[in-house]
Amino acid sequence: MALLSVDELCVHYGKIEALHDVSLTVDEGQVVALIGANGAGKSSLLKAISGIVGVASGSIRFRDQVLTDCAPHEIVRHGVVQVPEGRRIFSRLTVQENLDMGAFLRRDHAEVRRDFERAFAMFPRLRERRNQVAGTLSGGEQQMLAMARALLSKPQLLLLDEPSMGLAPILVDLVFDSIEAIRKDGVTILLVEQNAFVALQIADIGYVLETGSIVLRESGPALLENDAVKRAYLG
Amino acid sequence: MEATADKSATPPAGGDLAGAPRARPGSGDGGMLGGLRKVKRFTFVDVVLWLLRIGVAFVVIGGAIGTLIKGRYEASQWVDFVVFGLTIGGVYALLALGYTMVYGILRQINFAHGDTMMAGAFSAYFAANYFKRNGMLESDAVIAMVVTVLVAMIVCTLVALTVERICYRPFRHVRSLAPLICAIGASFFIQHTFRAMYGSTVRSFPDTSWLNGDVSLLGGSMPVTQVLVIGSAAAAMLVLYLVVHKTRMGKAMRAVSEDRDAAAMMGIDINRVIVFTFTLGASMAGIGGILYMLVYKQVYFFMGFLPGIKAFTAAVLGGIGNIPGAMFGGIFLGLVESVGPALFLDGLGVPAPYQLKDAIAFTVLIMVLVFRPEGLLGERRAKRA
Repeated sequence: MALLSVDELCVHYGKIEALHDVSLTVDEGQVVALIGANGAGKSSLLKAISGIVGVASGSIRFRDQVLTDCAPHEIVRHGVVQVPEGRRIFSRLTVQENLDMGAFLRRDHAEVRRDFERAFAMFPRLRERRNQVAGTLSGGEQQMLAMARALLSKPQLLLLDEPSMGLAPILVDLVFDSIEAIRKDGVTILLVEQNAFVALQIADIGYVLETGSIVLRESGPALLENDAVKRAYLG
Repeated sequence: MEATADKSATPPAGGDLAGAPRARPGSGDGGMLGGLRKVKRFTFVDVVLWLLRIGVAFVVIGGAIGTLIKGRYEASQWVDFVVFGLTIGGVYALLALGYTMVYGILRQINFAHGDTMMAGAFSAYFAANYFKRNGMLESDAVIAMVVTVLVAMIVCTLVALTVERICYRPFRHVRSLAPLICAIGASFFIQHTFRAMYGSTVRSFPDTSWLNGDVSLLGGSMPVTQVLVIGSAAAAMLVLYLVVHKTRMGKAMRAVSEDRDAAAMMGIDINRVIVFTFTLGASMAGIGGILYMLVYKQVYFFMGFLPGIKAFTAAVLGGIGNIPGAMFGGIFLGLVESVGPALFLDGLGVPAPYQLKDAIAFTVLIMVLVFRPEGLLGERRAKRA
């Protein structure tokens, strides 16, 4: 059974239709990439899964839970956690406090401390800047903080919205290396990217979203070779 | 190394931020083009603003010089003014915290906050009277006062949470003025409910032996009440600071005030944080209400209005949404209000300067709104994606 299944999802902003009958499944252990142009509805889909925007029709299921009517914090409790677009770290809180917010729901304090160590091992810069106010971090460090923060809530499914946005190529590589590492730790990943090339390289399955609808679903390598995708997204 | 690579290669994200301050010095000071543009933009509004500035500067500097030349006040009187300023400023600060924290979370002003304080003061008055009758206010003053404070905090919290539930929660997801207008309605509702129940007579906190008299401090003597009020206000603010910075919910509150959606995506229940915020603010209002009652010895249904507006002024003064700003703003306003009439107005020959202390307070509000709307400590606004 699929870990996450989205069925015929529609999302509206007022009269504008952002998503139209979108169906998608993510299996346990996979990396699924969702690519598409600006404004295709990629972020809307992730926001709908996280409960930040309302759903007009259709359903979102995670394991045997229906997420469609859950509040955002309940969705996190079920194990679905998002690293939002633009990172959205708490810039006035320290790095440590940001990570504390990631672990907000957890009561297993010993385990949390271990996860802090793992996060710091994955992103050593964060340990150095632990007591620094997060707004003073560089863009790359902020992305790492956003990912570490999400990992501290012990996700089963991690939603990543444009993790490469605004980063230098060398940092994009670093971020995607850590995505691979997160996957190896057994976290399933749904990845939204405009940078289709890097995303499809690590993806088991890729979906192409165009003006609110899914137009293609293939394995990652197959999409990399697909002529239409090459022309539209890989240049 | 990482940081530099990051900035140079990302003009869209980094360039925007880095570019803004770079552009400013050229157009602001010295630059030929910038200078010319400035001259052209000198409009009628600027004339009015400069007249305002000059007027205030004249009152402040001229008045101060006049007063000091006249030499009507002795040093000990100035000390009294300052101490009273700190006393009332501490109360304003406690109340201002409620405005500023709620604003930080909801981006809304809770105009019923002053009346929340009034409800707390009333309940404290009844609790203290009870202890007065059974003698505990004298024999076990500490226990009696602790219970009195707790009663005030609980009543304030109940009132504030009711206001939140009725005036703010239904409008959570719409941008409108409705919550503000509802809160003004709630403010009148609370006032007139108390008036209906307890009449419009002015009551006062029961007399106790330990509240009268002076204590000698730092070579001078100060009234016990003022020492008590300043000390309690400082202690309450310290506790609040620790709660906001050290506890799990306090951190969550700061996270929500910065970015509500991102906080929700971390598993933070926004409604619980809002309830927590109103509770904290109301608890401070409860303490503030008791202290206000000790300073002015008055309890009546309308007592919350003026300190409420003053505390709102203090919150704006410090930069609304900014917690240290509210503390600073409250104390600053208290000092200006207390020292100001003697220092600025007496020297100008104003016959009854103390009647103008409220005018001074609101002049401060208007000047801040006109010249520095982000407040003296200026809230660093959260970036919205």
